[in-house]
Amino acid sequence: MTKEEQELVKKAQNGQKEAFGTLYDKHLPAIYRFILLKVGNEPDAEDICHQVFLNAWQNIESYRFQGFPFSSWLYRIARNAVIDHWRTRKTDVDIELVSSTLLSDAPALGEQLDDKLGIERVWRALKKLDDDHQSLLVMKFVNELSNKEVAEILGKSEGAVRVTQHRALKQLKKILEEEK
Amino acid sequence: MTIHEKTINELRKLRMVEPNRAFALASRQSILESPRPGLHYGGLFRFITSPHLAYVGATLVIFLVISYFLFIPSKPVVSAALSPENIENELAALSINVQIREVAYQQNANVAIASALSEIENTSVKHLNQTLLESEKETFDMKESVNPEIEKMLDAVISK
Repeated sequence: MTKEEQELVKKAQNGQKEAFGTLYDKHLPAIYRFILLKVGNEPDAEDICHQVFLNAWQNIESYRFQGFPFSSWLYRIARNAVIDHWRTRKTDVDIELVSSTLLSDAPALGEQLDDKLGIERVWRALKKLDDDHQSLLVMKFVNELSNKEVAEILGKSEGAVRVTQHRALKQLKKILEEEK
Repeated sequence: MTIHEKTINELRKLRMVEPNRAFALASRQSILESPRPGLHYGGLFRFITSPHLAYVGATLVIFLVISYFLFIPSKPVVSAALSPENIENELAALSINVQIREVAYQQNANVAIASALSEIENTSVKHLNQTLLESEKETFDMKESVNPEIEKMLDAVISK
């Protein structure tokens, strides 16, 4: 965590709304992406994402810097929220619908049909992996977290993360090849 | 990692997934407008629960305890008790006390023994007095002690 971010966290802990607003702007895209790729539909992803940041704002006083970035704390809240979501609601996901809704906000991207199809294809494959494998691949290769951060969020050792990562990639590759 | 290069590139496409702007703004505003529980006491609470405060508190307590024993003259109990001279005097007094108690005991024992001996040797006690016993012997008459009625009865038996 950079010094600038530490300062923002301190200010937010002291009740400065704008400091938390800056943290929100910085981390929302990655946290939202993580949640959406896990739950598979936009309305649920938005609800969960809102709840995650609301919890973070209301409990930021309990946050203690322990050598990991602020985002690790947010990911842990998000992961627990997604687990709770699956416990209470087991709805099936229509990725095609989600994807078209999602990409309609970006006209330039909407024109790139190949990209859209590519996203749908990899997302569909990702959904076939188990929960830990999905979380790990999204955090590591989509949101670009380090192995150390991923290990901290998942509560595993870095060695275990490397092994799981290899297995997850192998499995995803197999699924993608089968779908061709 | 090269064998998974293609798969990783496929995954990177998912970075294009982004939140809806309208949602992002509405959610941000709603969160920042929501009250934070315990915010008014937050600063004080953090100060009280701060780990630094625990160290400061512990150091202060240790300092006060040491000061209490070392620097307060009205309570010289510990330092006086640890003085070698005082310990020596105390030990000497202890030895004298033991000796005095021993002497007192010996004296009491001697008195008791002497009184026992004198009692044994004392012949003026009535039941042990030799002269009294002898005088009793002299006054004791076997003949007078015989009952004449019994004598008569015995004679009568013998004569038959």
